[in-house]
Amino acid sequence: MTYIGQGLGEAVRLLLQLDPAVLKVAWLTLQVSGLAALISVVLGVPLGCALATRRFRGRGALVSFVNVGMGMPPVVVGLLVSLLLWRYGPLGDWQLLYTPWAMVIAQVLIAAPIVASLSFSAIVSLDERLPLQLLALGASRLQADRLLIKEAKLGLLAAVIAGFGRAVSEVGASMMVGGNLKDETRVLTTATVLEVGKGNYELAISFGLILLVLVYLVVAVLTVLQQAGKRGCS
Amino acid sequence: MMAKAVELAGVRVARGERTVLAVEALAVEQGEMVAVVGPNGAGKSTLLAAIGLLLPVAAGQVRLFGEHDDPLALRRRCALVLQDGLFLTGSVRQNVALPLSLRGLRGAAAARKVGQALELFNLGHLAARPVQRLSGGERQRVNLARALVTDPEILLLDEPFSSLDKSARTHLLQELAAIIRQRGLTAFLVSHHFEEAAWFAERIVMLAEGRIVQQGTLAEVVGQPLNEAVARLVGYDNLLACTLAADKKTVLLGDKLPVAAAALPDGLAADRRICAFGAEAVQIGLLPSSACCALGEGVVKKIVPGIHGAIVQLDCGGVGLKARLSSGTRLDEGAKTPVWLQSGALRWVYGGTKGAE
Repeated sequence: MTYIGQGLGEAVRLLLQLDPAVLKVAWLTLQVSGLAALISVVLGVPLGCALATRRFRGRGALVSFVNVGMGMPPVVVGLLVSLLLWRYGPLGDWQLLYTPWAMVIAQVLIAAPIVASLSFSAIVSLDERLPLQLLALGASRLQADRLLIKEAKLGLLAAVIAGFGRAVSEVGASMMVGGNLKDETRVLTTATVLEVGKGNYELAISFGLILLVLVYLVVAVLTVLQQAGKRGCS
Repeated sequence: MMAKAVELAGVRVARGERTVLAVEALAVEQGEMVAVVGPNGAGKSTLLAAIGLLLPVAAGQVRLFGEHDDPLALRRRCALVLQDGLFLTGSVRQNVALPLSLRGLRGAAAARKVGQALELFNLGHLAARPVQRLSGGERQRVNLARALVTDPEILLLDEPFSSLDKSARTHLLQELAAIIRQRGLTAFLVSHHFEEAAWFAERIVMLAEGRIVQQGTLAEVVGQPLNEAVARLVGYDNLLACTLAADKKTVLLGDKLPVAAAALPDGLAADRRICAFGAEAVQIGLLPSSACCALGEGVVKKIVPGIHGAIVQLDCGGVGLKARLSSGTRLDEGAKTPVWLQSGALRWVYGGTKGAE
């Protein structure tokens, strides 16, 4: 059990000393997962909103597809992105495999369906006559969509939290498409896996602890925003 | 010539494969007040949404003020008031200001109009209150203020007060009717309460199964119901098939009860027709107070209490009748009583669609 105590102590020491190697990994993690979460929100929220408010041919199939995407195994996503970005793959010319961009693409494919599905749920949980009422008040389609998104902000922030959480905790696909290259594609999750494999539990614990703190801080900010919105509702 | 406020021509609204509204023609003048009455699922709300250009039509055309080219601009000349008043999160003031901000009107001009709309419905003291903390009556007042803040030319009222008690409903409707008349608005009121609709409107449109079955003034609809559905909606308690007997001098009510044809209003041109009369037209227990024809003896099957006197369900010679029990009269279920019909109150149901659309 002493190694756990030693690990925690080492983690605290690394954090307090602002170890450059650790900070670099943490910063890359924040960049990759933050960007992936942002892209997932930009794609997922409008998609979820459109699925909830529009009626078109194939809508049911698209809803099912998004829901399937929520449960997509990360290794399958990793395999798919690897095949696409592999040197001789359809997107091989872009030379993105084993770069942070490949990790962003993989994390977007994993997080965007979650954001879309939860956004869809957040919008459809509003009164089904609200879109009609907004149009009747003189809203254009775009104005009505904007107001619906504003009205469903509590649920949508939950979708953003879930999307970021899924992206930042992802390890399998990131390992496959990023390669866990030191100073290039090593993020907190892949670094933790690597250090555990090498038996460096102290370092693994410190990476794990930083990951927890990072997730806590981001989610805390989003939760504060969410609760502020909730207070506005009462 | 002034364009009609609303014109529907060959309009069909479908939900999947099912047609939920089919209106061949409906034209409403500017400033006219129309009540839309029909049973549940008749397409009343769909008709209002179609008039307000709020849903796609599968066929036909809706024209407002003679135009149909710019749906958003036309839609913004209308206001729809729904039953529960759906609001966005925020204060009364914010919700009432919303239709103005959607039209790009903000600042002092918007604030002035919001203030006027709130004062119109005595809501000034509630302006800062979150809408979620309003009572049912207050919510409906805010709903109306929000609808009228943009000075709409067409007001669509979809059972706006049905969640309120009768006293509050009547009071708000009177207030609203006065505003509509003062501003010369074209108004449509959907209501389950025929009397309320009849009081409010100059014209009554009767809907059943997505089609207009009759439209006209109160006197036309009540005096000459065109089919059984209309007669039921108008509130006739008794609908009976009548047959002219072979001697041409006797009419068999419910195909069984003989009544002298001369005692009934003219109109039984065919050999068989439906007649309609209210429970008030059937007199029991006492000697008739006005010209009545005797229907024989009836057996009281059931007594249903009511504010305006109990409704008595009778079996009169094998024909089911409903009569209103006058106050002070006592009858028990199973009792036998003489039954008279105030024959002047009987109306013939024309059965066709003549006059409808």
